[in-house]
Amino acid sequence: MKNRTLALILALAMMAGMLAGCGNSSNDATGGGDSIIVGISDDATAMDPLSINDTNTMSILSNIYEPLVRVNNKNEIIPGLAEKWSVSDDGLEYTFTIRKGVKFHNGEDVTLEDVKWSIEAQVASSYTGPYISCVDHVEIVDDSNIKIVLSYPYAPFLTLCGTYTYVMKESFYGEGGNMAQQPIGCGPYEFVSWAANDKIVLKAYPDYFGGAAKITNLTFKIISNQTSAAISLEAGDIDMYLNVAETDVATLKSNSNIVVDEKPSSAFYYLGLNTEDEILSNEKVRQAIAKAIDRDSMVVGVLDGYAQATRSFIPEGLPGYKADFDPLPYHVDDAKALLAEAGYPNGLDLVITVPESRSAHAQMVQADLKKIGINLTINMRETGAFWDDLENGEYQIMMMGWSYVVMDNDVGYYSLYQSKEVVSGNYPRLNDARVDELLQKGRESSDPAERDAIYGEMEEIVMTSGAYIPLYWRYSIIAYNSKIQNVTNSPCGFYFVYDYSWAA
Amino acid sequence: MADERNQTQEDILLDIQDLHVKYNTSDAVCYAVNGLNIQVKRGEVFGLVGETGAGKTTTALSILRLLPQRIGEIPQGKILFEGQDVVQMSEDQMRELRGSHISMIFQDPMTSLNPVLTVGDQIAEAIETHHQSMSKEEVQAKVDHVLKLVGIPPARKYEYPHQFSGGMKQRVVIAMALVCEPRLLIADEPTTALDVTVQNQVLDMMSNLKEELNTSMILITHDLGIVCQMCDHVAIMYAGKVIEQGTVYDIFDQSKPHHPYTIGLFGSLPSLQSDSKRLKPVMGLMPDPTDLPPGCEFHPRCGSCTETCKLKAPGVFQDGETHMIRCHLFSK
Amino acid sequence: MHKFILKRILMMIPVLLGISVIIYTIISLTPGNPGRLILGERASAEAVEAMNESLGYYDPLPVKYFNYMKNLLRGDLGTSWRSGVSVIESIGERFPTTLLLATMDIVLTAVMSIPLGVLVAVKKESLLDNIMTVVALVFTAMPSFWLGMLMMLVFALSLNLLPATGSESFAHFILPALTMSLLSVAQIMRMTRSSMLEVIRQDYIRTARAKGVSEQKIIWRHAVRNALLPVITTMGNNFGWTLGGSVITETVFGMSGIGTLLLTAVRSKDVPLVMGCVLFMSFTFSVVTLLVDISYGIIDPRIKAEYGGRKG
Repeated sequence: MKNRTLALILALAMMAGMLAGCGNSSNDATGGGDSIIVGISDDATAMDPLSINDTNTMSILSNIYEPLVRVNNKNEIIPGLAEKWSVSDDGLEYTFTIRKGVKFHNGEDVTLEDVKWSIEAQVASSYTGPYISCVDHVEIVDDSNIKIVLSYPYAPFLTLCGTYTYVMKESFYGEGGNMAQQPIGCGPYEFVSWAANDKIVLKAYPDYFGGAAKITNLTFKIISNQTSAAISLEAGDIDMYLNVAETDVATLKSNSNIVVDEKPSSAFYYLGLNTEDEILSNEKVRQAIAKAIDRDSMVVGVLDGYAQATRSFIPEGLPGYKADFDPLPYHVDDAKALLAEAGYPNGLDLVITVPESRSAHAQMVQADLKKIGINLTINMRETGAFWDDLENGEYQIMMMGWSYVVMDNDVGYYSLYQSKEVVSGNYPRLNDARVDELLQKGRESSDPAERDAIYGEMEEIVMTSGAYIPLYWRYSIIAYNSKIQNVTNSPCGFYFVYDYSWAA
Repeated sequence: MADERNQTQEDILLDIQDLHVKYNTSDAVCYAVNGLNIQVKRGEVFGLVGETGAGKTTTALSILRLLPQRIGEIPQGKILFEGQDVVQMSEDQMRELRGSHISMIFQDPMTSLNPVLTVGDQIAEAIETHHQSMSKEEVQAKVDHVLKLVGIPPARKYEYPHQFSGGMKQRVVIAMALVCEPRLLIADEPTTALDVTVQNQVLDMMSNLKEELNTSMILITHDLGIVCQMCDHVAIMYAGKVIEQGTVYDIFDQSKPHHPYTIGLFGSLPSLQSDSKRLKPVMGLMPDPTDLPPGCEFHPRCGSCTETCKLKAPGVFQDGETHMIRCHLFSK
Repeated sequence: MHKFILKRILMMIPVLLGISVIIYTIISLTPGNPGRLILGERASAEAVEAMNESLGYYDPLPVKYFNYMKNLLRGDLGTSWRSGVSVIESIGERFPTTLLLATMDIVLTAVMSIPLGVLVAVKKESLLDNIMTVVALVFTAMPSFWLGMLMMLVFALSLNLLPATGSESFAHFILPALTMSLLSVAQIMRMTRSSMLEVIRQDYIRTARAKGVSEQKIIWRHAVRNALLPVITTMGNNFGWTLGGSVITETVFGMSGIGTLLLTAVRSKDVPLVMGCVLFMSFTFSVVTLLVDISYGIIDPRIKAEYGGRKG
């Protein structure tokens, strides 16, 4: 009894300490000057653009390497290493005028040969190649122009150039070079050091063609625990954190020195239904399942409301977007009726395959489907095994996340819907001739109105089929010292620090 | 007359008067010593004899106030060492007394030495504790000297206890106890754990050292041979009391009256001539110290038990000046 | 003694060999193909296959293992599949962090728990003993990430005394090391306490008392050294474990040690890196247990004699 009382007193004392910690948050961030420390949750995989393709690393590298063009935070194409560019009428030839006198961080000149070699290398790389496979070849036109010739017209090409046309020098990859660890580019920041899983230190390149960056010292600090990072931000150890946890938003918002910016990201989550499965090949069963999923509850229940429920994979602002799009509205009775029509009036048994991290989602789906008589078993898989299952088609229902690397419909989901892409996206094995046709048209067209029609029609077909059941857009939540200016929450996860500055 | 009395007072080194010791355990109170009276004179060897559980070791520990902490308690009685009551002393005074004026040798030499300290360090510690002004060299010289006294080459002081045999260990323990030349040495069955041959060597050595240092000794033992060989006075303990006490001649003289327990203990009438004889087991068991029988504590095992024995504690029967028996058989 | 050490070092070889077989088999048999994990979900089937081919993923298991061991014997732990960085370099880069963290943890634990354990043993069943028992239990029951967060909130955010995350300076190590040690203080303190209580009952303690030695000397000179043996075993084991990295503490405090290295390696099925980490961890663990055994000999001469005895 005595012991229990003591324990209680101690526990209360600790709680008090914790509450004090929450309430009285001080802030002495590095606060201004010429340095900024950006907290990120994952380390870079390598510093070489030819051997990476994850968004996190690409975002870091965008500060070191310079692409031909850049995409600004309004999704507009702006000059990069190329001052200007033009596109041939057939959409097959892109001609870029390269700036003169640009030098790499080590002082060597950027030549047209370097540009040509770099683009060819990125096309050839199995990391970056899949994104720019439309490139047929690269030609040097004259002493300032370079021409990229596509094998088919591809509307999102310029947007992709913002990410996949970094310029390096072939000799950097030769003897004595170590691009994976000691990168050399011609972007606004030059590499200083990288302590694996700890921090990446960069400093402003004084001879950057656009003028030296206002923030001279840029450090990316890896803090994988999100709450630790939030505390670090409040304590002033870091100035910015790019992967804020939903649970920390309220605390951070209550701190007047910190800005929290939350908005739907380009990452969407969905249920994929295997159309080659014996039961799920029946469209009515798939539709019944789609109509039984209560997305709004999932967003509240699993994600604390930090997500935006969706019925489509097209975000606002892209061709084909319709605000009230909902071909299979949530309706439990209709779902039951559909299931009965499909020949299962007494319900049926199905299995959902998910990676460990999505068990809470799977339980919500399980509860939803129970209401229409489907007895769902959850099959939890380790990530690698999960992908094996998807590639081999050994699943009935799965849950998956996908994201737009750049904001373009084709980049977003060509490989999801294309009937030939079963091992690199189209895991539900959607096989619809009209969809394939529309995909082709969409990627070749650069007329906004035409694309709007194409993608609108396609989305109607796909979402009615029930092979894909969209769930929600994940939020991108970033938080930073309120004195940092010009920060934009990037839906695709690209943060270009060159734009930032400290308020006076 | 007054002079003679003073003389006697001077002669007495240790005077235990009406000592009571109890152990307060969580289950019960154990009455280990119940009104013990003994007197040890300067220079003499006083034998304390009795079965296991009679309270011999408790008595010894009480003299050094080393009873288990928080459990052992002396509710009543005096232990006068050179006229000063040990029971009333502060812990600091006690520490001064221990090792320098009163030393103790414990039963098992195998476990009495700290395994992680060298033998020399452990002996030196006793000196350093009581002679803090002594230089390191002097301390070491003294260690060497005492080791020689007990017959161990001083070079072995750098060794650890596990490198010594049982007999050698007991020599170390004795060296440790005697190094400060105490006035009283309490030896609690010092040879029980040793081989017979080694026993005699150790005992001889102890006798010699005692003579040399003029130390009094309380010898706790089972071994009647040792009592006979070493002791001047003997007290026989039962259930925390002395039931018979006298000079070695009183106890071993078969023509004298004896307590039935003594007789039982000795099996036959004790004889000074008989060789070393172990105590013979007496029928029955020592009474439970948490629940002592009324009357004479020995009555449940006594062949001569009467109704009085069961009700009334026996008084003291004085047989001559030195011999005392506590039994109803003699108190009419 | 030297022979004993040599023998123990030789014994590490079959242990490490066994571990390498087990780990290599397990990691090879887990599903998921590395090419896909490395190249991402959009890579073409051909690219994934080519990548797997270049990694030797399609070779039969015994062949793969044999090749791995062949390189290992040449001192080559290979390069990470994912980052292409040499495995030895990766480990070498992170080990100082882990080593400093583990050392601070063990030192803090010893400094806090041994005196406390002795104190509560001496004051057995006192109010202090009871309070410390409860405090110890409370800390033991705390999940480490929660305690870590708590420490951060209090010391980094509220009091602004120490940095919350990172491993740049010595100050960065204080909170994580304190967190780790607070979690094991209870265990070591209770162990010291019971070991002390056992030792205090021994005859040689009574002998020392009978010599008139002061209570303080009895405890620190006579009792503690004898009581430390089981405590050192446990602390040594703990140290061995933390040298293998403490994933949770490292994650919470944003530190880059062996624990997080192994974690990311396992997640990306980076076989050379996983193998390198596990073998390294087993090696350090074996070395630490050997050191613990040697330290026994220093503390307890009886054990040293035993090692000596094995010479013959």
